[in-house]
Amino acid sequence: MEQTSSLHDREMNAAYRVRRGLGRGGVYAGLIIGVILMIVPFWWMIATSLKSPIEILEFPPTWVPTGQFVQTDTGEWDEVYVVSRDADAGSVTVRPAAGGDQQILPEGAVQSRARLRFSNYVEAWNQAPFARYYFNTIFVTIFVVIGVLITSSLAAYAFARMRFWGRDNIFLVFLSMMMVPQPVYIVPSYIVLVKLGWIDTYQALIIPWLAHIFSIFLLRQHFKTIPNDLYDAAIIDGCSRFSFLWRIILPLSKATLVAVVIFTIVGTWNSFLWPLVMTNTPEVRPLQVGLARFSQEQGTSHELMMAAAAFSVAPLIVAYFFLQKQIIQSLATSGMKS
Amino acid sequence: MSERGTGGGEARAGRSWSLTKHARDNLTAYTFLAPFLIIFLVFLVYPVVYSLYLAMHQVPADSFDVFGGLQFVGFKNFIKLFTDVKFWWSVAMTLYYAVLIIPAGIAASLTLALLLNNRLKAVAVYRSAFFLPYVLDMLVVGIVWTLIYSPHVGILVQFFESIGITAFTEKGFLGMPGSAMPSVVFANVLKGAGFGMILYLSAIQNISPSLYEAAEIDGATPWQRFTRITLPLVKPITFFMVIIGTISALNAFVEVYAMTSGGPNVDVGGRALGATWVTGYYVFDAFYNQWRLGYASAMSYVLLALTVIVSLVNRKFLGSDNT
Repeated sequence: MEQTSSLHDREMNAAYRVRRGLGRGGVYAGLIIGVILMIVPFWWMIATSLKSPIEILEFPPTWVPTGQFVQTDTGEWDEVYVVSRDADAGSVTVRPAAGGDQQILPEGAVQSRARLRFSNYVEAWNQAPFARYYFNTIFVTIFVVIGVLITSSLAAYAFARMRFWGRDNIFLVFLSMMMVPQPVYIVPSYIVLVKLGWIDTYQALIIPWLAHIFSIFLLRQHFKTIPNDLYDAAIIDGCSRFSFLWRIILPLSKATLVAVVIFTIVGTWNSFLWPLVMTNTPEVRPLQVGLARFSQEQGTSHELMMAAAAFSVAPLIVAYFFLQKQIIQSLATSGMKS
Repeated sequence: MSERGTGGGEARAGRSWSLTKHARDNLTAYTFLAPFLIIFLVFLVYPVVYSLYLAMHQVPADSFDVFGGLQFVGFKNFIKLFTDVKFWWSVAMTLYYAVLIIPAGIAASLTLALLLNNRLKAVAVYRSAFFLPYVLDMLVVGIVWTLIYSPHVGILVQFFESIGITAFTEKGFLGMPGSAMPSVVFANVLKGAGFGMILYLSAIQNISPSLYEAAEIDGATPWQRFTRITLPLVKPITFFMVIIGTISALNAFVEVYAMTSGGPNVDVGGRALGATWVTGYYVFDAFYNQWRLGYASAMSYVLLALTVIVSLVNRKFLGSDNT
């Protein structure tokens, strides 16, 4: 009896292991498909941005930007464009990239090598005032972040720690305003900004964004977890409400403040509809709107378009690689709270 | 600071001054709220209210004077709106967008979370890769996918060609009415899946392993364990995902702007209507391209009403039994 049962167990274990092995293979296969789906667009953006206009049209497409090279008499490799290939004769017609007459060469004389055209980036950068756009986005983002930190921590503190008339109702109104889609208030907001004379100004891109309800919500949740005793002790020591917020609560809320900063940076850097409507001139136009303009004017030049797209998201990608742990954590925990 | 300190002392000392203390508390609280509240009122509440006023008016097409040129037209904009086929079509397209993105978003996020919820090598690498698109903006994602979907040179078209499907070669995925909306949604799902994944993952990891062990002893299959334990316990996240999906459908604009501009056109009873013509894009078009401010405002009010209805329905159907 004991024997059979242990035999049975062993069989079960073997079957289980096979099944788990299969499951494991499936898991990795799924993960790899997922990674490919996520990464391919970005790879494709960067690969395209480094290609020549001719290479973009090539079939089959190249995953790593490639150039064709021919060795000269002096032993250097010169780049050529392939005009046509004759498979029967085993020859290739090429045109030197530097200019000059077409040559017919044997198949073996032409070599493929990775060729990254960083010059596309320079060209794209110089075709529109991207330096200005960059400055505008960074400038606006810095001020929005500072402003949101100030307005949100003050308001969140009031909501979390103070009793006042209409507190809960006002908070409810705020939360429901968070659901209002942006297209709903874009028209009247435009008119408000026209009345204030703010169209084409930095304040149009900064001030309205300082009422960041979600940040208040996050900070309020956190402030509520700070024990009341701390407050009572501080008040007895003669601490004002403001200095309690400044000296005690804020230093205790670093993680949440970091989440607010990350949220605000990502949101401001990526905002589009608002700055599209509120700016008309390159002087204050932020990067994303500049990029959209560029894409309309540029239209067919894929490599320049992708270069511009790449350098406009580059800061976010770089920041993501260095701070991904904090970013994922803060975005996720804040998602949980809501 | 000492001034405030003595102020507090006074309030504590004299109980009979409680009304004054109450007023003072209010004053302090509103002082803290003021910077936020003023901006909130001027740039959010006022516009939403003003929108209704604007919806009752018409701006003559040739006038760029937004204030002088307003003519009161009563409910004319709303009446026109309710008979505007293009508007109802946009509502239908918004609904279609939501119907596609909600289940696809949930499925993608949940699948990734379940995959990551295994003892794996280099979990962090996968997680980073999945989450990356979330920090990037929709415009760039849209521009990149436009290239991928594009006819002739797009890699997706070439991939389908290589397996013998040439249906998309001529017009690309965004150029054909049938595939345009799913393609827009697909790009958006990939962009957002990492966020949903993180939420699901932490919810799944909070489920007690003993539940699964007990189910396994009772002979539950992995599928049963998933449908009877995992799914019910991550329901709050699913509810949240439905809300997020709804909001993103009602907000849908940048992706449409970047990829299709509302097109390609479909012939519906002799009228050309855009296959990705969502309400968010129609509002923008009426406002920015056609300068019909009153009409755009009326439309945004109906959009607001839809938002309220949808969130109430969501709450009723999904929110009631998980609280």
